[in-house]
Amino acid sequence: MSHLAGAVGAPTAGAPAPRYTPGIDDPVVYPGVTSASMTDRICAIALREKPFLWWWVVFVPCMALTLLLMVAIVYLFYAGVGIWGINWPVMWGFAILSYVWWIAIASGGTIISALFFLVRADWRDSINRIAESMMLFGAAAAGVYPILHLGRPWFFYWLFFYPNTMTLSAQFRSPLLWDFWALMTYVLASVLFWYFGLIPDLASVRDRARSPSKQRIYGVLACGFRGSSRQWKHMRATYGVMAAIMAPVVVSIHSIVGLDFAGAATPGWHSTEFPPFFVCGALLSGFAIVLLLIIPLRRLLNLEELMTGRHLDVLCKLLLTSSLCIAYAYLMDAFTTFYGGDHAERVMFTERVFGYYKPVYWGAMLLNCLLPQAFWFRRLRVNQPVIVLICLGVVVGMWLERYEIVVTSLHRPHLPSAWGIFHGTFWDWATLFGTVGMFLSGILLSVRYVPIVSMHEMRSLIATKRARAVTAEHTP
Amino acid sequence: MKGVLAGFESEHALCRALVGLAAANIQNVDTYTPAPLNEDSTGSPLPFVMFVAGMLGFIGFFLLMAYADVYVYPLNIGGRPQFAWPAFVPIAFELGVLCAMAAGFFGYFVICRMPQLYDPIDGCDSFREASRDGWFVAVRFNDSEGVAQVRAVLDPLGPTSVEEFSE
Repeated sequence: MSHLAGAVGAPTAGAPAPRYTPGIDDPVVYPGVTSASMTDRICAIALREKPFLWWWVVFVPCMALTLLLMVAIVYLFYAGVGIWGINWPVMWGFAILSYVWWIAIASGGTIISALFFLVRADWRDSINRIAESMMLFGAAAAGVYPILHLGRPWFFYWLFFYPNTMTLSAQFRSPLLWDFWALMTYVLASVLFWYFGLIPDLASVRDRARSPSKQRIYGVLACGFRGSSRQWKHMRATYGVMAAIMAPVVVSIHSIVGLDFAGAATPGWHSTEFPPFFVCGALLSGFAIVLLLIIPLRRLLNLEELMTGRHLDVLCKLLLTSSLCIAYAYLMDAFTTFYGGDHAERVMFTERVFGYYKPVYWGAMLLNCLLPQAFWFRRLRVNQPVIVLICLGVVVGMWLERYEIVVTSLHRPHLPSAWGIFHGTFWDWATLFGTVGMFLSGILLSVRYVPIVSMHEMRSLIATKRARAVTAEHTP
Repeated sequence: MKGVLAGFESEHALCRALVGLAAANIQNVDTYTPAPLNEDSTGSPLPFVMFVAGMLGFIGFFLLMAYADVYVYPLNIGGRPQFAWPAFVPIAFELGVLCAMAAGFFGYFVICRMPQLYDPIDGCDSFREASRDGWFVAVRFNDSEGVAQVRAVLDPLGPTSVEEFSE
């Protein structure tokens, strides 16, 4: 009993965690970490009375940006989409390209969480919660845009099927409507998937909480999960099927976003390449954002024993792979344009590469294809400053790629009399940075109040590693 | 209803206790563990429930779209077929998925009888370890003679804690 007495309900992190510089041969979790020490440390983060100073330093500007988003939305609803830079011929501006960008970021999180659960990747267990939070708030940031982009947002319910006197139903044959349902499914399914995996960890936090209010709040959220054999058995079965569902859903949603474009007869869009091309882009930006989140968090929250050089190495390799995929897609984009022989396509493409918007095109090439090649070198895959710079580049580069797809394609339509130039206005940028602030605020809140590492999966992982180590000791 | 809750320091020790309880033919044994006790998850009906819900969602929404576009609100767009079934597949897939996810999520709560915010077992001091690093077995019985019998089996196995609880 004695060893329990100090630990029960004690939200202390114990001794300060040792510092580790990430190395290429790091284990997926350091041998000194036990189930108990890991659980205590993660719960202590969620149960901290006062947030860290750095938390406020980041949170306040993010909330200010979120406020800016609110102002931008209210003004948009008051004045209409004319406050944005969109005009003939570029009628899809920041709203659509930022929507695609956010959905890609969210999708990357789902891939890490769901796909790598299915392939039983052990490095996934300590970062899947961060990836899922990224998916949740990325999907929320994306979900802001379509409603805003409707010229008459008060008619949004026309997207639903409902009996009406207009002799019209929603047009089920249009990819744009598919997109609405896909996004709705994705957001709702993401919430369910995230919360479902969270239940056992909320129970852990509940059992460590000292103040009655926190015990109540986490107790209600944990829904009475106690780790009984029945609860575990059904949870494992259900979570596995949910992961098996989420993996194809994320491919479907980004393919459907690609079809929004491919379904139109616009030069630069009308290509069967788009669905897989968009999925590769989603992977690239998703891996980049996960890396950008775990590199500061592992340091600030003393999680270096759980998020090791092994994680950085794997994610950088995956980022490099998706960068190669996207380079192939860019190459095919150029090839099919000139192989296809459509005059308008060629004019548009030449304009994209050498015209007014050429910095956007070459910027995307440089940041998405060229810079990630640094990850061929082992040492750079665990060099945190280099990773941060390359990932920031990829995040910007993916936004430029969407800009290139949406704006450059639209600015050179078939009719030369309709050619035009697009620029974002203040309100375009305010909405974009507002969603960035909203995304980061959401991430920070989840870091503050939600267990940042999936503790029950880590406990299984640690037990497995232990068992293996013991077996290795006893075999001659 | 009364019960005994015994904690063990490892999964291995808990498994030995379970073997001991089974050998003594003691019923109503449940385990409370920080991680799944064994990797076996067969026997759960939820995957099948999710499959059925997903298929029903897929078929139902497919039929709804066909009904809308073909019968109630037909719209001629360049002479394209009204029953353009391949175009109905993406939405049907998405909504089928949503049905399956919802069925799994809410089905889990039904099948585990959650949310159950209070259980007599919560009164045991050591029980909080079940979500950290303690491996627990609980035996519930109606008569009071069971306590001695269960303790006789468990005590020699070196539990870290043995507590009694009652409703």
